Amino acid sequence: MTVPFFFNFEPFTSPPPCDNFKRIIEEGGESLRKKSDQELMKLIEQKHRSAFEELYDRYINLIYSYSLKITKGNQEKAKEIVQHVFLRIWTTKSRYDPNKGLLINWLITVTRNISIDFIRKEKKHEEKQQMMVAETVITQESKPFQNIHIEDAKKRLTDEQQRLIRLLYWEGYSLREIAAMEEEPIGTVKSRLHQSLKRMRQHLKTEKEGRVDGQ
Amino acid sequence: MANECEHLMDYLAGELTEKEAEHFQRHLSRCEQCSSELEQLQEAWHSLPSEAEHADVPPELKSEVMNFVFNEASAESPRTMDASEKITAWTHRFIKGFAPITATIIVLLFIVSAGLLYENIQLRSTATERITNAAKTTQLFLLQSIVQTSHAKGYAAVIKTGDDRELIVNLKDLPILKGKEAYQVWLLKDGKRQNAGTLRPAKDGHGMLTYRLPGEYKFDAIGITLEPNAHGTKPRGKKVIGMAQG
Repeated sequence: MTVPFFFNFEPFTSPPPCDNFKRIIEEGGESLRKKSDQELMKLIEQKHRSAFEELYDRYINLIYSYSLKITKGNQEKAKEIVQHVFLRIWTTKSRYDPNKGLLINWLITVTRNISIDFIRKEKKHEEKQQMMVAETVITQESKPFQNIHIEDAKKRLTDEQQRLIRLLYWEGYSLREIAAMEEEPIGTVKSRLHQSLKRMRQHLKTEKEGRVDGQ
Repeated sequence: MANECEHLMDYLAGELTEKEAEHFQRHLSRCEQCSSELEQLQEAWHSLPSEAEHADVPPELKSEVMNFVFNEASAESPRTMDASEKITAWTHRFIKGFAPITATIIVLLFIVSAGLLYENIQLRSTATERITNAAKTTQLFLLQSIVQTSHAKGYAAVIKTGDDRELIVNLKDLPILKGKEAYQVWLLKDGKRQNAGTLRPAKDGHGMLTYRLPGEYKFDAIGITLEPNAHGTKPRGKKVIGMAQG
């Protein structure tokens, strides 16, 4: 699918018109697939719709799986989150900054922020039900998303450490709320999380190195 | 600086406001320990999503997402936020636009006008009460001297207040009285006289009397006599003041 160049040609808003022109000429579906994440995001900033669809194709698996996990398997809610994530990607002014890390991490951060907004709004309404109902829903057949290292690394943590991470990362409790739940000063909660994450990282690292060595 | 370093976990968890986050980023560029810690923590943090199990994406999701995004983003072109975000933005702009002092003035004005309004309502209800209880003049007689030696004149009025009726006689230029002499007011009904009290004028010739009319008592005419004293039950002296003709 080719897009006529005048469609997105914006000589006044895009500083290097020649580059822009070239890029637009190349924007067939095939060539989009060859674009780097960064290039794709630039096109999306210029409201290039096919680039946006390409981004969807690349990351929908991750974003949807993530949303499904954070909503504890609720498909409808997961879909709603996905819609809002892509709306934000299309409209946001706070752009992805490649200097700050991989696009995938940025996308996950956006997804987590939106999910947590959802979760917190919901919590206000149905404080109790949420936990029990949803936890039973993830029964669908599933394969590990990326690798088993994370599971291994997590096993090295105490239950307590895992719990803290789950509360903060997946269940959308704020540090302050966790401190209140644990009846501990917020500083203690922070340093426990800090230690847990560092320990996890340590295990991830040694496993990775072990794997590289093994190969 | 130690204080700033404490925000590392808040920053990682995305719990800082936009401003606080910017502030912390500036701190990161100065604090080596924080930035290296952050890097390590982020490694673990960014590995967390892989806990999510791979799920099959519903095929219809793509068109749903695209419709949602392009309808939301283009149908109301400047609208890129959802309603609640919009309201927040508005509120923010509103608050920003008003310096605290302006806000204080507005609050004060509000309080003052509320006070005035309250007082106004109070006054109004008092006034209404007064009007409903207000006295009504049901009868009015103009009075004047019927003797040539005096130019006294005035009026008599029946004032109705609720169920009570009161006769008020107000006269001026009355000739000064001698000794115990008094003017006596008589009411006439079907040829019968009824005493309505006596009055003695002040030095300026001004005299006034009020008399509470009994029950349903009505009268046709009013006359004032000059009496040797204030104790008569029947007119003894001559009539000096009567109703003005015409």
